[in-house]
Amino acid sequence: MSNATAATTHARAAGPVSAPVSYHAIAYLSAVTGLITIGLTWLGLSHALSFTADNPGLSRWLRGIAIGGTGLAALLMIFPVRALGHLRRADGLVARGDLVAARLPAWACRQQGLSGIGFGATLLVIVAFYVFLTTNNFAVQRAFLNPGYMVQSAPMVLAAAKLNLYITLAASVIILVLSLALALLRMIPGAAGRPIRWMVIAYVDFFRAVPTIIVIYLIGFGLPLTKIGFVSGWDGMWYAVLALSLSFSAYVTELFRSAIDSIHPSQIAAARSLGLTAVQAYAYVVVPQAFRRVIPPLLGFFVALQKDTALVLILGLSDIFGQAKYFAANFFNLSPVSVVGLFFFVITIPQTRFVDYLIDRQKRNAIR
Amino acid sequence: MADAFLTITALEKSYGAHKVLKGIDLSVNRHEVVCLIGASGSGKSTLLRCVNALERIDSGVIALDGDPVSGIGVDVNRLRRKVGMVFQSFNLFPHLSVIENVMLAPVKVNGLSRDEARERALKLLDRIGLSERAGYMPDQLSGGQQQRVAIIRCMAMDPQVLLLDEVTSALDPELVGEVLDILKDLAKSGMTMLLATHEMRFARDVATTVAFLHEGQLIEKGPPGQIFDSPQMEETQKFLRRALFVPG
Ligand SMILES: Nc1ncnc2c1ncn2[C@@H]1O[C@H](COP(=O)(O)OP(=O)(O)O)[C@@H](O)[C@H]1O
Ligand SMILES: [Mg+2]
Repeated sequence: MSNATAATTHARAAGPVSAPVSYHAIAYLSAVTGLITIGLTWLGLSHALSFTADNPGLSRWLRGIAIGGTGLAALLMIFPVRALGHLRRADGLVARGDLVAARLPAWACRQQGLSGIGFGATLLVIVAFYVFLTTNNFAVQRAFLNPGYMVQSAPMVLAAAKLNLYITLAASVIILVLSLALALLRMIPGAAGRPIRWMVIAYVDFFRAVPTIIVIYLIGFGLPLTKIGFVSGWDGMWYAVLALSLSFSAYVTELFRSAIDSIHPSQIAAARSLGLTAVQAYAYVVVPQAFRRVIPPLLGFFVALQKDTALVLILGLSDIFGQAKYFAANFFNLSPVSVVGLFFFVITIPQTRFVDYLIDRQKRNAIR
Repeated sequence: MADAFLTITALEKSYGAHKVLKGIDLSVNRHEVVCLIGASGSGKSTLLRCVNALERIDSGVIALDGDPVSGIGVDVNRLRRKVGMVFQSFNLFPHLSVIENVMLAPVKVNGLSRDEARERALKLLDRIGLSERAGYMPDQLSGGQQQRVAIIRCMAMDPQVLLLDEVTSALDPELVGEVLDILKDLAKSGMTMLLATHEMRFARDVATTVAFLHEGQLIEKGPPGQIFDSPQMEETQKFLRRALFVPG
């Protein structure tokens, strides 16, 4: 048997590219998935039409969605069609024994097939969500996403978000100052510093252990009860600020401390050997380096803080959630609360994206 | 010698139960270059760190210019102004540019104005051929360039003695030469130096005294010719046979 025939025989068995699933399987699977997706999309999207026989205007809209969605599913067939084209070219090349040349179409076949499967699956998830919203005569959509209620409540609900903003800003400042101070106290060296270190550790442990909502409840209802002039009789917002600051500072203190710890000790040695005092070494060498490392996770905590301001509702404050709940109780419908969800979604996403970007950039710089 | 500048007497140091330095006696005269050689783990780094008060010593005396600088109550900051130290790695401050690295201590410790410190730093950088890199960040320099900057960062404080702990060990072989050249220059200009090194050729060329450290004891010292050509102690012979076997 010549070398070429041996290679061809081998190729028929294994294919030009070694991979766990052959490109044939992927191409055929993507064709089958594509057809199933078209069918399921039509079934899922047209289901809602059965509830709107008496509403021709809405019916027209929904029919448009069903036809458009199914058309999109049909468009996705372009991937399996391309995959099958590449498959034929690859097989032709293999049959001629040109294994190296066959690699490219086999790879392309695999890519197109996988893309088809991926887009098809995504479309089906969206269709499933649509079915969930519309099923049982639009029960879910009516309960959560009633446009009328949403529009009606939105102005006052969004105006109430000002309170959440104030709480976030005030608490952020307190958290930054308190946490840096606690982290530095936590690092006081020597026997004399021990009781202070213990106190910080106890504080951090306590407030990381107790749920934030409990802290808010205890402080918000407890301190006014004490009737001690200094801590009772505050505006409700300030109890919320205090509680959130205490709770979050525990985490941020740990964050600062671990960042300071992560600076290599030889940096301190190098600074001290140049004659800098311990305080100078921390101020000019350790803390600036630690602060850079801490910025992304710190911003992450501030995103979490914004969201947790919604907890102050338990104190009966009219924050965004409190206001929405008031509307929801009146309408007997949850759509105003969905406005709250949307609000946090819209303000949080850019921030978390920004944090991710910073973390990525830091990783890239660390590798350089 | 009458002019002993740094004297170490009966120095002992342990980490927990592990005795690392077992009674070291060593003196360094002005303008002398003393090379510490010895196997890894023999205590070279510990000895240098003790001299710079980065480690607390258990017993013994370290004196600079006749002035005891070891023990409780000593002003370590004043000591360190007279003593410069360069480490094997992690020397430069990564968040500061090259010139800011050099300027930091003169400004913060000696109270120089920033302009004055910058001018002096540029002169020093010029001396090692890196004045164009003044604005670079340390991670934009090669390892050899970083070590050269670390050395002149020490020199910016006008130390009276320079401690160097294997400053070429973390470098790629082709970068070792440029760092050793700087040290040779400094030695020629009369800088007093105590350095731990694995570069035997350098020790032979530059050292006035070579001291062999073995398991926390200084078991042999003398001029390089004597130590390298006719070592008296068996451990020294064994160590040198292994160390010199490596070509270069
Ligand atoms: N911080 C430390 N804690 C405990 N043991 C240490 C410490 N530093 C060094 N040692 C030990 O002291 C001995 C001498 O170390 P070192 O002075 O670094 O030796 P060399 O620099 O000659 O390689 C080694 O056995 C090492 O494990
Ligand atoms: Mg060492």
